[in-house]
Amino acid sequence: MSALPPDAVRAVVEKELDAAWGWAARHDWTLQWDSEHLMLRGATYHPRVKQLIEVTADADGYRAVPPAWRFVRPGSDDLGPEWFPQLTLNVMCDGSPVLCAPWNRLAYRENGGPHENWSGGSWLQVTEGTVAHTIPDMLGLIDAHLQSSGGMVV
Amino acid sequence: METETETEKLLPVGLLDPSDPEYEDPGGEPDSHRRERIVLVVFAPKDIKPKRFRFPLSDTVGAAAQIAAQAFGYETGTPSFQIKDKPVLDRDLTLERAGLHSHEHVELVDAGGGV
Repeated sequence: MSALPPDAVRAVVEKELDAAWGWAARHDWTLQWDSEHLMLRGATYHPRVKQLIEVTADADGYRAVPPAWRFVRPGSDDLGPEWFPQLTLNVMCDGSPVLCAPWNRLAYRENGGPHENWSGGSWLQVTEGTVAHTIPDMLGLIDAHLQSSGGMVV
Repeated sequence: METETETEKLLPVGLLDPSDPEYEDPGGEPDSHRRERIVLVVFAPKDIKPKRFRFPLSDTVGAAAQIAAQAFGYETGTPSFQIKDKPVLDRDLTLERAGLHSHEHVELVDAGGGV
């Protein structure tokens, strides 16, 4: 999807992952990085309902564009609101929850999201909502909002 | 309860140097004597190592987090602190009201809202 060479993306992500491993250890997350497919997978337990939560970040094109964050059925790439925790960051878009933040590619209208006033190519300049300019900061925000979550979307 | 010593009152606020006498956690019961300032061990998700800061307990969480965020190179956002497994701290609370104690570990996190 991006003109950025995979090797360039891989180098950027893997540099950021140096700190992300430490963040994950501090907050009881596990991370898996699939360098071939430029896909990060993070997992933790929902603090209230104790359900395993798994989120993937498709980093293709990163940092020209933000990653695409999706909550999935653990151990798979299956999508659905039942795998999505209630987060104050969520909005419903065409019947499905979306992490609505400038650091999620899926929040942009050009990728089917709700924000036509944002452009993925200038995501680092978006000043609305939460700010996270690195992958570990994005994970930190997901975890911080998860701590206030009452349960799953459905 | 003993009050803050004269020596402690002279220690500077802000980012600590490793030579600071309170840089390392002395261990034992947290804040066993009355303090006016505390040392926080601040982690930022994007950095491997934490930084230590001394803040007056009367500072708000938001003001302290802003100082920490700048030291870590964050240029935008509305920073706050998060204690592990807890919601993000209210930026308007003082560090004292937030219940923070000296050498507590906190994580920097943006407190901006959903959109």
